Amino acid sequence: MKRMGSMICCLCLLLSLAGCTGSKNKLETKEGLFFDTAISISVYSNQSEKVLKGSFELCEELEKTFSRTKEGSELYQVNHREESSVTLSDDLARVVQEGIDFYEISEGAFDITIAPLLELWDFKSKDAVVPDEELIQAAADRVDGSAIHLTGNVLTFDREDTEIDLGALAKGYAADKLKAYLVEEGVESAMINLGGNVLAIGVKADGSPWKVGIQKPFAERGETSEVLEVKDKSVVSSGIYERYFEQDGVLYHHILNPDTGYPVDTGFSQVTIISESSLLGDALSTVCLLAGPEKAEEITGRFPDVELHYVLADPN
Amino acid sequence: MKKRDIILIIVVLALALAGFGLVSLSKKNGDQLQITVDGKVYGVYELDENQTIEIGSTNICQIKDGKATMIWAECRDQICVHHKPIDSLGGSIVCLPNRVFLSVLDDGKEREIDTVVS
Repeated sequence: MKRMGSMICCLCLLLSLAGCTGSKNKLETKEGLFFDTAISISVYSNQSEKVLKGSFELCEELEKTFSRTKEGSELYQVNHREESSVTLSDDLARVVQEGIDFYEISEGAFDITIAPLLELWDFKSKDAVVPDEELIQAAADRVDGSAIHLTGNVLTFDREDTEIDLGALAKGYAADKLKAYLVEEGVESAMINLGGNVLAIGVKADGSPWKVGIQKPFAERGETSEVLEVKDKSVVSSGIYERYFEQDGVLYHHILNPDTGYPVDTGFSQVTIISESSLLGDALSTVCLLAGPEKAEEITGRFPDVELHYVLADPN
Repeated sequence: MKKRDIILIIVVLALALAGFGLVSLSKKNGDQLQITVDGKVYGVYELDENQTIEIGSTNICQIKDGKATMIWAECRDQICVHHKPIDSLGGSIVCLPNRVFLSVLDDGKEREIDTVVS
């Protein structure tokens, strides 16, 4: 009996030693492609495999809601509607409402009916060129944020040719949703990076804040100009260096003025918004780019706990 | 306690220590680069061994002096080729068109940057 006792003691010791080399609560990362960008989600959790899988399923679901180009997505169906009124899912209604709110806040500069112009400019193509003047005019005429109305979940269009793009909001909304899911699953520490949208949950396992680098505009990818230390915050950057091309010595970037149909002369190279909600950060980062330095300070000032960082455009 | 008990304790302890040592040894000390294609792990490579890795027929990655870069990619934007090299400080390089990811595996070490907003 005594012998059994000492044997058990030793076994316990052995097990505890083995435990030291195990990887309980190691940072686990999963990467993938969603929302037209590379995403990565990292968690400290004792069930990381399960929650990472769940997170990616959620991304897939949200992509099927918000993608403008994927046939069969909810937004695609809304854009190819046959009636002037459509009933939206809760997710889509929430984001469209945010778009309408910011159309008003920005006095029409931020317009989710920008889709016809984005389609025309096609910044994702390698062979992007400046479209014909007349085509730009025709597309800009179709952009009109005042022609959509949301009541409850019912979206009504005044015009048949209105199309919506939610590229400036969907990633922010997705990040917030992912956070809600992870928190519900008991995760206390995680890092969500959806391209330009970063959302930190809690702090790192060792108690130190998450370190978020900000891409330096027009520099090598991965080169940072600033490193922010954050806890439970969203960090979103928008800039004219993300998608652009040059033609005849002029830089054409993807932040378009909905009235003229041409890239907006913003005064900023990059805007970074630090906020609680990533949807708000996503909206504000684009709104600020469109509004320019003076108005940007004023607009962000209306939201409590929102921090604005920026890099001014090179005057040349 | 009998003599045999003591021997037993020593034997089990020795086994435990040996096991501990083996586990530690099998874990390489250097940092590792993981390559995934389309979400599946393509391979894991030692960052301290200079090498060139062909990733299918679409990309070529080079590890040199502890730094990994994408030296060639068959894609239109070439963003990954113009990415800053990644090393033991962490980071990742992505080739979006070919769905190729290079990332330095986390070893629990303190890093300068956890993630980059682009």
